[in-house]
Amino acid sequence: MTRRRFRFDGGQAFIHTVLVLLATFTFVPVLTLLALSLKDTYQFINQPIGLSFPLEWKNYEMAWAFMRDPLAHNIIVATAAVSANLFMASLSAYVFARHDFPFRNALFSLIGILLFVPGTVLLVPNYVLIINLKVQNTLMALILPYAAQQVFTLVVLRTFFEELPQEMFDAAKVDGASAFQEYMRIAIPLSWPIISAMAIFQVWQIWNDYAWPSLVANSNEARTAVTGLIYFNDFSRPEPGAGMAAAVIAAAPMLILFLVTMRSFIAGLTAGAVKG
Amino acid sequence: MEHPPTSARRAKWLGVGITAALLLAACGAATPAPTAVPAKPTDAPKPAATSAPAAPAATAAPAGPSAPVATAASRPDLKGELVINTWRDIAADPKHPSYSMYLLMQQWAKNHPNVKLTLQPMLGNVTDVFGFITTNLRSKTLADVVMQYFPSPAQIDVDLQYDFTADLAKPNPYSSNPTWKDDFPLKAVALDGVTTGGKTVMVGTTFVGDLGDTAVLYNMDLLEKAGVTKLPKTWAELVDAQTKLKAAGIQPFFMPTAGNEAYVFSWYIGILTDELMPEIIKACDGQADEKKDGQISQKEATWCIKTGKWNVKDPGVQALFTTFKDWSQFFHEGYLAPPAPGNLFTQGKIAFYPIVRLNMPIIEGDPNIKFNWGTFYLPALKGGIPKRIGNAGLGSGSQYLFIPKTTVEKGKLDLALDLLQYITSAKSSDYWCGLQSVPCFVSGTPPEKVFAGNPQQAKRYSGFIDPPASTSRASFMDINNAFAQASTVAEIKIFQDYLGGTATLDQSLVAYQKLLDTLAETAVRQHPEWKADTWK
Amino acid sequence: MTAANSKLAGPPGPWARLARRLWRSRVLYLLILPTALSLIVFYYGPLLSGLWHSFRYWDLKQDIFIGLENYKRMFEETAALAAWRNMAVILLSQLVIVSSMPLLGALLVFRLTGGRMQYLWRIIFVLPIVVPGTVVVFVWRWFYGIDGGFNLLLRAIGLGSWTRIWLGEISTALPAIIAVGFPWVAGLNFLIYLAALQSIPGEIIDASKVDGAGPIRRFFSIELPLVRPQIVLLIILTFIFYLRSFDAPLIMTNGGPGTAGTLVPGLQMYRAIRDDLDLGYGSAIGTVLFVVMIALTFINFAVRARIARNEQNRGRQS
Repeated sequence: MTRRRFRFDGGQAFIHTVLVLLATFTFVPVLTLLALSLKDTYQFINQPIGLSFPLEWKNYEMAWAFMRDPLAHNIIVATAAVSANLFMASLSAYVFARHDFPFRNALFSLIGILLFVPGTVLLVPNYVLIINLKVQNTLMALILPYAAQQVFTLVVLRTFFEELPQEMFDAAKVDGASAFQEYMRIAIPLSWPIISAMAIFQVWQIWNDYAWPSLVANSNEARTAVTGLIYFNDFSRPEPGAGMAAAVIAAAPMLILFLVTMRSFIAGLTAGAVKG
Repeated sequence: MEHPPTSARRAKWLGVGITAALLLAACGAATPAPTAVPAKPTDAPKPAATSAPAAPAATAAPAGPSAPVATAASRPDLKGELVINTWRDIAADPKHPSYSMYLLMQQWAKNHPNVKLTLQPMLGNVTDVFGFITTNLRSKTLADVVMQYFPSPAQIDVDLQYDFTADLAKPNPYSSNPTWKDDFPLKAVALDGVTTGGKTVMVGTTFVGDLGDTAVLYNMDLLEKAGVTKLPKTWAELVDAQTKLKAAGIQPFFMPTAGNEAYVFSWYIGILTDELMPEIIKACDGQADEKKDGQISQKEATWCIKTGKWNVKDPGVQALFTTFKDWSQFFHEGYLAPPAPGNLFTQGKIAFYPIVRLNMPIIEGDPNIKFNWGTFYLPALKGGIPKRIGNAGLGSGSQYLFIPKTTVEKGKLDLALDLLQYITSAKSSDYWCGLQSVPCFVSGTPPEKVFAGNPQQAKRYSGFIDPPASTSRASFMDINNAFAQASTVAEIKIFQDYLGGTATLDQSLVAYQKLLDTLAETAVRQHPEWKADTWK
Repeated sequence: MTAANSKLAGPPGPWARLARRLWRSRVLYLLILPTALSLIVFYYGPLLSGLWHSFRYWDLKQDIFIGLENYKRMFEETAALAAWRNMAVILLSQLVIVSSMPLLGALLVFRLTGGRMQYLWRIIFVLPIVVPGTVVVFVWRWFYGIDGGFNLLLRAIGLGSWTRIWLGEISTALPAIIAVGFPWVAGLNFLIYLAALQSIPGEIIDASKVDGAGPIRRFFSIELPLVRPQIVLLIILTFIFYLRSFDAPLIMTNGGPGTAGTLVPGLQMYRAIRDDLDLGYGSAIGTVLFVVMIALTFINFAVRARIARNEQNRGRQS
């Protein structure tokens, strides 16, 4: 018995060692970012490794002055786009899942194949579309396309709705509720966890997007957080520490979002992935 | 399931919150908010300790003449709103040369109280701003007036911009000269570069000592440490100086080929082209019904490529590549990669650093510079007077303003025209000159006379003044000036491959020829009125 | 039944039946209309427009037909071919990475005894999802600088001669970009693998332990087969992602050094739009990317169908 336990402990110790090593390598870049963001120019150039005192909090002041607007834009865009997106996608998913109508399957396949269209392919025409709609360099240039990226959500939600037992909807049918009312009263509340997970996933995608905003929304009125970060660093040529501070500011809202919603996000993603 | 679970109640509140956010977004997103005059400085503060003095008279120059008072006499009923796209935020830094333009606009606004003037800065690096102008010009989404620097052919379009020719022949209400054209300094030579097919689509000012001048900063302390006692006056001396610097372990020359400052490399492409390909330039100047003026326009350059005169088989083009290759041994460390944060020159790590006069305030105001420095101009490769690239105040004026045709359609032409006539009137030019750290001067004046009584300024600005521009302007037969700004990126990358050893000379020449052909082809497509198929 | 007869009494014709069903479902069509409109405006429309304009010269002011010239240019320019090659290298490397490192991490965590430990490590390796990709690229860009993290470290441990200008040399630029994210364990992939492993019924694992299977044999005969769907899924997702992503080359090197050190087709397209306004050329690149994507999807499906069919046959034979 003791020999067995020893062998287990040895194995566990090995696992822990490797994990600690991997975790260290994983976190070094982020920790370095934090450390660099608190250095003034002299410390940045001459003592880049490790924390150096006194901490230069002024970097954050400088970075915040610039990043405040991009952060606000990102929050507005994410909220508006994701709300519109989820509303449309869940409504359509519900209709496809629980009602039959002519050409239902054909229409759904037409939607499903869009999953395989890489976004880059649509970059040029979407850019021209934005210019023709005269919303270039406004927040709408971001909100509209993001609200339209419903395919993945739609497919996931449809599967979910299909698997709901019929009894849940029968009560409403007896009441004589219309499709839309069924949707509002029953489908949404039931699917709230998965909708939340999809919402967080979409917010995460929007926050991460660099190429599209830098193309159509690269102005003071519409810049997003990550676009602002790169712009701040490459153009404004600030103190290097302030540049790093801007990166921390760009990442901070995502950190907060995850700490608040971690369980729901992880649950939603793993459920989707394991089933898929 | 008798009552909705708690998640549903949470959902309701979340729904309320989301709806509120949507409404907020719909209101906020619909109207972009232009920054009203004066614009809040949105660039990061420069590393210099410029606690900005409020009055412009606090700059180094003596207080010049006061701003001409704009009378509303010319067009007394002006009212409405005028929005101006400016090259970056001209109101941000009172020490910056462009601030004077801002003051002129302010003065005009003060005297036209019924007109609301709003500035919308175009931000970004040089490529971004040019791209912004070109894209929005074509999609007709620019503001009412656009103020920019260094226009290139991509920002000149007679179909989309107002033609000033008729107005230039008439008097300027703000001036006593017979015609508006007389107001422009140096015989209105600044208008040459923005006139095509007989139509002048921009008005611009140019002064000797203008913002587009280029020069090379030098760190005298580092030079002396390497045993270089005087500034090189010939190319051989330059090579010698760089060799000594390298032997002493000091980086000789800043030559970025990547990142936001790669335009520096394009300057030297332009300068060396002039020195190495004079016959090609002479053969192409004045062709395709353009003026024979020593300047190569986009049309002439396209003609040159299409008729095969500008061709990589010419030994001049090959010499261009090999000259850079020889020179590259002295370029700063890592010149093929994007530059690191911070400025190598202010850190005292490099001896020679090319600079455009627009950026001089950054160097002048940096408190960390403790070494002896100044500017000079690189000697010519083959001897004689070196060619000046950059504005140099003779024909390619740097500050320009134009009116998109959409402004005319909106009925605001008289507001815009009035503003431009005010800004470019003779008195305004005097005022502008009075505010500059390098006052306007006659070409050929030595630096000591320009900065009479201020030897430090004379040393610092010497490279912009001497040798004089009047004798040595570059012809601009280079991709950067003849074609769109962004093609420079493609061009420089070809050089990167060659200098870095990835491509042989032959491969690079083939790639370069392809680039020239593509650019010519695109230019022809953009200008069907050239009737390029009749060439040669 | 002809249209003329339809007025007479009798069962309605097939078209009339269809029309009646359509009419009955009109509310449903209305409900899916927002989605349909969004997809048409932002997906199908652009797809067709891109295809159409790939044969034209388009720069917002003009729209002229030029035939196959854009495509010819794509295959004649040395930079263009290098771009595809770079993308292939990146894709293959990422496929190898995604099917190994996160799986290794998930496996190690899974093998830990004690639910609390597993939970803790799961949080540790999932937390990095939080950092936006752009920020990661941004920090790594500093690491690769002349006086950036890597070179400093090398100098500090005495390997000064190994320092390089990582993003400035043609031989190291592309590997440097691929290496971003080392050790590639943390993130969404880890989460998915771990979830899959954790959903393996406990009895199977206990049974194998009773059988005396060692840890490595357990992996190959039990865990790996049960995780295979996730591996395939992640390979597909990674593929789709890297086929179009160009943030790292854009931010770190703008496609350099040189004309095509780290250029990828997506970046070419981006530059065609932003710098040159050469929209026809950009559309051509996009169309080729699309065709490649479709071709690979077909191949993928065909291969999987073939495998499934073989397995079925084998099952039937045994």
